[in-house]
Amino acid sequence: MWPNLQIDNRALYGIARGAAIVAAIFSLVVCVLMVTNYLQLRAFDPAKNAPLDTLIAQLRQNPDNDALREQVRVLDLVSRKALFTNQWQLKTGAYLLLGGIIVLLVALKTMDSLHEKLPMPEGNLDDSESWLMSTKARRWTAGVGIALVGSSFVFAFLSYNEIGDGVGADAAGSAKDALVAGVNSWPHFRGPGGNGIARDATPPTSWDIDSGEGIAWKTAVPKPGFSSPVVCQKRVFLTGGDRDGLFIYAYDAQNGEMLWQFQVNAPDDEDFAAFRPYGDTGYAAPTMSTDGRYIFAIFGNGQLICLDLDGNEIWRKGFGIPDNHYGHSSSLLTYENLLIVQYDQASEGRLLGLDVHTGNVIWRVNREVISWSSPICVDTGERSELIVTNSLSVDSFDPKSGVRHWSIECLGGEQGPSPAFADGLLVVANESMQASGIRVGAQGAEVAWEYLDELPDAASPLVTGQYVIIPTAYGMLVCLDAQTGEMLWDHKFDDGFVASPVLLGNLIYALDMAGVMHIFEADSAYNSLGDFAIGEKSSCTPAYADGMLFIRSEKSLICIGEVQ
Amino acid sequence: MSWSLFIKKRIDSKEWSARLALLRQLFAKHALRSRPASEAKTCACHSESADSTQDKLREQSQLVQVKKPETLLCAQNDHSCSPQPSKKYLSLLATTILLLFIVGSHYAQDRFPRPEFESQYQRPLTTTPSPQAHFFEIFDIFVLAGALGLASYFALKKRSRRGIFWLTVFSAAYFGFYRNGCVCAVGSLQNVSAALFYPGFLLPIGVIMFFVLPLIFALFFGRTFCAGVCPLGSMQDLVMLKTVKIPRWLSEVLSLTPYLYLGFAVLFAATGSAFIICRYDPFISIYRMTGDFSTMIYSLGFVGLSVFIGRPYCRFLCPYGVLLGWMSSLSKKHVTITPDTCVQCRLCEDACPFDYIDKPASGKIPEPRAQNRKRLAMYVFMLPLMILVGGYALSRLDFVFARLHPKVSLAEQIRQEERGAVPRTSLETQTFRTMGVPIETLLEQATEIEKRFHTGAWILGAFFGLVFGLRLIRLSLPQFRIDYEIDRTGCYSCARCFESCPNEQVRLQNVKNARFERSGKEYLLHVAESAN
Ligand code: SF4
Ligand code: SF4
Repeated sequence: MWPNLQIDNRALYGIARGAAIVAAIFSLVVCVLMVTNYLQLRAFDPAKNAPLDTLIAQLRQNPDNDALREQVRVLDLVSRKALFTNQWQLKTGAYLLLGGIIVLLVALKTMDSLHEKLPMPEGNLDDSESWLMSTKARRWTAGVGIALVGSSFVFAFLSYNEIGDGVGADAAGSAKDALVAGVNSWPHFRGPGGNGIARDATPPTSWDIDSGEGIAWKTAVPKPGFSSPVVCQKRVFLTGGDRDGLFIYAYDAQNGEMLWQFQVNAPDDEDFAAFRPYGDTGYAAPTMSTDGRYIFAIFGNGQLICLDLDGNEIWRKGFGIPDNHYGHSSSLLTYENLLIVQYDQASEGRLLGLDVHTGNVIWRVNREVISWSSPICVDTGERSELIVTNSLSVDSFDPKSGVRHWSIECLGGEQGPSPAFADGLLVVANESMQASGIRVGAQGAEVAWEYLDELPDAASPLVTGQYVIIPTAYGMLVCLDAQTGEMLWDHKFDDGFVASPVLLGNLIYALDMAGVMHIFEADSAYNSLGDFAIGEKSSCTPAYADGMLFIRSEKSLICIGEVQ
Repeated sequence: MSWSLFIKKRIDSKEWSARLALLRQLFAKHALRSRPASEAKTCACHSESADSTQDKLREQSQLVQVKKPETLLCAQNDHSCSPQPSKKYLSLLATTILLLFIVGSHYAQDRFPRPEFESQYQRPLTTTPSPQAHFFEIFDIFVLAGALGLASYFALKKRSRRGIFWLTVFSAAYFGFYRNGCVCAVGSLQNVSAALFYPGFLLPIGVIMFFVLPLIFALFFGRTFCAGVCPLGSMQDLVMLKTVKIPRWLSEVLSLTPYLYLGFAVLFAATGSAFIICRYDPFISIYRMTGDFSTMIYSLGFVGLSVFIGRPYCRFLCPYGVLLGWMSSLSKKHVTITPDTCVQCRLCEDACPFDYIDKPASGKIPEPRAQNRKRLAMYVFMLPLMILVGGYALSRLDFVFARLHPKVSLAEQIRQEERGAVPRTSLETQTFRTMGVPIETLLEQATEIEKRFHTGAWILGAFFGLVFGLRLIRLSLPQFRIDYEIDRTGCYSCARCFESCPNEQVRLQNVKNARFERSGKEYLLHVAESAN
């Protein structure tokens, strides 16, 4: 059987062979068990126990449910045990496997040493053989070298350097060179900072749309849109759109003449063709923003564009058609050299700080909860804060970096109204929840009061300093004491409000859905200066600049006041 | 729980007994301190005591005493010591403070209520890690030096394969399983590279010695480190069973890989990007008995390969082996197959499982000499070109290599997010965005790093060009060799081939005979002595 073995080595060989077989089978079994264990662990990882997570989430909502707590404890204990047992099995398995392999190796080596063949050189020493080997090795070496060089070039050619040359030189520029929109401008939705306040304003207080008295000009807007006008350097900018495409319009603030229009998307554009607008928001609900150098617009299909004031495209970005059941409606905001984009969706929503020059993302915050409100920027005296609401909370960020300062959960339901701020008081409100007065200071923010009665649906509240104005969708308008949140007065109008009220000088301008502007004093009682129609329905918040009021109605852009 | 029960429980506990023992020592020490001045020795630090705890306590007391105005200067230790009698109250104070610390620390543990566990969970005792690391750092150096000395002794002096084998077992057990394969000479070259390019990079003495010692030994005795000291080599050596002979031309080509690996390892370490040798160490997860599934497959694959291919990692990957090879080729002494002269019996021809035995060669080549000279001249002439092409080719890939740097990788991710090229953000980018660092700063830093990679890739490519060029030249040279010789650059000094040489068998027989003779003489002497 073992012809070339010494007789006394046979027994040793047999023992070694037996040991090798046993060790091999043992190692194999341990190996199979370990792999099975691993596969089991992959299929059900005790550390990632979804039912347990669900139970914990339920317990958070019902912290007093003792039965649920007990269930969580039991399940937690079971999964912990499973995890540690699994780890113990793996560790023990590893040691057993190592032991098995060592025995196997020793046995095989013993067999091998007993079975050793003595060397028996054949043929003659041949120099040419080694030369042939060298030649082959040389050729292969050269081949491999060339292949390496070639593949380096190909790989370099195919690879894309994300960082590239000179990136960052002009990425965000410095805050110093930022031309802020002029004082006589209305750069964002609800004016400077998005707060709806122009204290130095001297707005028109009466007009007659039928006779044209007090109306500077009125011009037709080619395409509809819910976006409000923004004003900068004596130009009024608007967005609009329908099936024919998306447009930006620029009007001369002096005479209403259309200076230019820019088509952002044509019907055939990929991003546009696939877009189906929602009735509540349509093609162009978000209001534009301007920093005095550029104008920025975003549309319902997620198309963001930057133009200069003369209508030349600077850059554009597509965020993709939003997964948003009312359509995208959050307006843009600029802060120093950043464009703030609140792009909320059902999933993968984000709040972005983009470089105004290039559109590059300077910072990004992921948004887990959707909303339809717009961001505002406030000055708390200590710092600038970017205030953003969602359907759960109001959050404050550093507008320069996107670092979150604080967050307060005081909202619920679908959040349409934007926050409002003045003199350290922030007000957020929602029809399904409440209105909350939040004191914002150097140390953070805390809720000062809550108000539960008349609440806004789409229109945003207005904080004037002493008073808080809350417009509702059903025509009720209330005034609260900013200190205490107590209602000072209420007034029922015939039509509800979608447009947000603004404070111009000491007067509040609230435009209802029927297109009637209600002007009243910011006071502890309702002192009306009159109700003035604009002749068409409107959902847009008015803009103010240079003593003139710019109102977008369903089909027109109306300028009220005296041309300066 | 009543107080008496509480105290009883405390006194019963091990922890409390230890505290009581310390208290006893304290009081004993206090008694010692309170002796009259005449009885006391010069100062606390010189007083003779066998009890190290007391010594420590004295030192602690001294800290308080140093602040006393009437301090004396200790002649021996150049520090201030107080005269003994005045120490009495101070030492009492020190003792009290210490007592307060001890008792206080006990209660400090219970400052917050411990959670009540309903299960059988035993709350682990708080332990203080012992300062092992430094001890092992020094101890490992001694073990390494000893192992290298032994390996050289076994390989060159004793020519003992058995000695090398047991040393291999020891190295796998100690440097591998016990010390978890770290620190390892192979990986240390990355630390050294990093330290060379980053002056602030800390290079512990242990790492330096692990890098230097094997190279020094290789310079004097050949790669005795590989013979039986390196844990990576040991693992492969121990599992090696039936080796398959790889064609020479193929192993020539594959043996260029360690140069590439070495170059990349230095580049990535020198740019602070990654320690790729450690990251892709195939044996570490086996030594540590841990690792995820893919790592285990990778490691077991290598071990499996080592069963049939002699030391695949050493031959075709090990970057440190390149340096050892250079040293070994210049070594003062080196193992030889035969202890005497080669009798050209050809018995050792296939004795090396790694194919490091070169056959005799007459220098004749089966092609015209002129053709060979022309080729050789071409390679020499093209060498600078190869260096340039290599450098340029690799420099084109600088940004690809730079991706291994965490900062560059982060910057790229951020850029991709900006372009909308990725659907979601990563944890890294989210964290970065919350740090408030402007993206431009990150991009500028990444660009700087890419520039460094550009230079590094140029040097690396040039090095590769040089290696390929020199290899081509070497392969074009006709070989002159009279005897069977060991390839000094590759040979691991494992002593396997010795026994195939008939001269070695003669030597072993002579040794045996001499030993026998000696023991015979000793026996006769012993008999004679007993008779007397
Ligand atoms: S070649 Fe490298 S891995 Fe192999 S034994 Fe030598 S140093 Fe260790
Ligand atoms: S000592 Fe002999 S068998 Fe071992 S590596 Fe060197 S040549 Fe090969």
